[in-house]
Amino acid sequence: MRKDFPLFKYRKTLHYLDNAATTQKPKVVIDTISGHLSKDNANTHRGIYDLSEQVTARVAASRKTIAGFVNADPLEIIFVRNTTEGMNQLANSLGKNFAQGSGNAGNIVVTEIEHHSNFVPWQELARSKGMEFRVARLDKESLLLESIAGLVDDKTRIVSFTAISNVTGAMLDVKKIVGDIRAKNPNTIIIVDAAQAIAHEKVDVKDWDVDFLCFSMHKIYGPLIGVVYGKKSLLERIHPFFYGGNMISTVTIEKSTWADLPEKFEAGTINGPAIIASAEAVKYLEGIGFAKTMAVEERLRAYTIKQLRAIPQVKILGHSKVKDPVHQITGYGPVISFTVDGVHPHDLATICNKHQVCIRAGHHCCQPFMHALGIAATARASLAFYNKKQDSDALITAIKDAIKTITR
Amino acid sequence: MILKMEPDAINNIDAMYREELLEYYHNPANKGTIANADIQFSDKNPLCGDSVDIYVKLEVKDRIITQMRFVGTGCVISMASAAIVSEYAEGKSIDEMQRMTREDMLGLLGLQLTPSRVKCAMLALTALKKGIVDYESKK
Repeated sequence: MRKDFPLFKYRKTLHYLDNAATTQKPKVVIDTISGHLSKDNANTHRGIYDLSEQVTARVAASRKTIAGFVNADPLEIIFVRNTTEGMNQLANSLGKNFAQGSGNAGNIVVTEIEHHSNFVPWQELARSKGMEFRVARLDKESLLLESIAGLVDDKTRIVSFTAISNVTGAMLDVKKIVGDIRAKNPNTIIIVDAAQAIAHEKVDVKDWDVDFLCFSMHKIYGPLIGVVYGKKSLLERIHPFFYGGNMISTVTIEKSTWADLPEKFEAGTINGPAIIASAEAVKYLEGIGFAKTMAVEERLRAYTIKQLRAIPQVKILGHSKVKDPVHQITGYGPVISFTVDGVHPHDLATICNKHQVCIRAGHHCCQPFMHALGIAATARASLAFYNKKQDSDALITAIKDAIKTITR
Repeated sequence: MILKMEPDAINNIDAMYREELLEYYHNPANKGTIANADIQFSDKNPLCGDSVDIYVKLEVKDRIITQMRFVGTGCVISMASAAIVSEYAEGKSIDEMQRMTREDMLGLLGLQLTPSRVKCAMLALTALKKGIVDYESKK
């Protein structure tokens, strides 16, 4: 498994624990991109010649593979730059249907633990339309969330929340939350940020019954593209993301009409090589067995937590047994944020670097989350199935070195 | 008191966490506030939570800094830099401090740093410069 990833051959002594930021790529993904550009490169949809037809077919097959991975119809899969773009496009597109209002324009609901990319677009949309912006609050002691559905009423137009927190790894029961929201308001549009979830739990858009869902391939061993899933009936009704080539049906001086799904949302030349390579990432993962990779990650998470707990100065955010009275948070995935008494996260990350341990230090694009906790920053170690016990051991050594070096 | 520059030492971690800098971090010179300060300014790096409040007393006619103090929270580099630059600033003119560059600051620390840590090193000096601008505009 680890041997399939060229980076670890080039950097034998690296302990890469920043997978929540981006993941390493298996050789098959890298080779697919360079192979495609070397031997098979042409634009999709444009040409009648063989090469173009082949690329078009490969992209279509890749779309089907990626759709299958999340149990969606291929027509419901739209390729974008990343999750951030996906959320912004949805906000723009959905927002076009919201009349400018004041007071009675409705409300949008998010949570206090959202990544900025699933917080700011909705905050801005609410502000620009005069809508109320409601935030399900975090309890800093229990690290549990106020009931999301509890904030939903008959004026709620959109709810957007994360499936797994990129700070603490907290896993939300998406299916249950969606059901609770629909019970309160069947018309609310429900959007899920699956950027962290896609690599660490089974994402099933039909089972979850979400309206839209966004994730990034680069967080699941693929190249730098993102995916927006949307229910077919909704995608047919909402405004396109971009306008121009490929997303049109007819264009005259008087007006233009749009192409069918999914082209309606993919203006211009799409990143064919990246889409094809993304399907290879999915196939690679399914070849190993997604259940197997999740099991490896869970064992490593448990091992890392046990080791961290043995250091008295370390405080882990979460990762203890969950008892959520509103049944939203069910457990923790392989993303671990922690602080070290007497060692600023910046200094910790720098000393980790000395030990070739790659962790992240900061607010992790979650300033509201940090503010709710009353801290400015944490250190974060995030695992993938190619990490080994030695990576965790190196982290522990680095933490102890930092404590010894800096504290008195 | 200018510390010697370490050669080939970009983010040389041993240099960054050497005893002199840790001493400034744990026992900062010039930590504190000044009542009736001539210049007072707060600044923070929201990316990581480093924050500093600087206080300056001037001998007004010659625009010389007679006293500089700071309080703050943050990493070793940001706090040691705040202590070091506070010491350095005393006896200098505000024009001289306004002209001080990033290279000068790193020279004071005896470090070369990557862009993300340079921000830490510059926090207090930047606060001082903004405070000076503020002070000039109010005169």
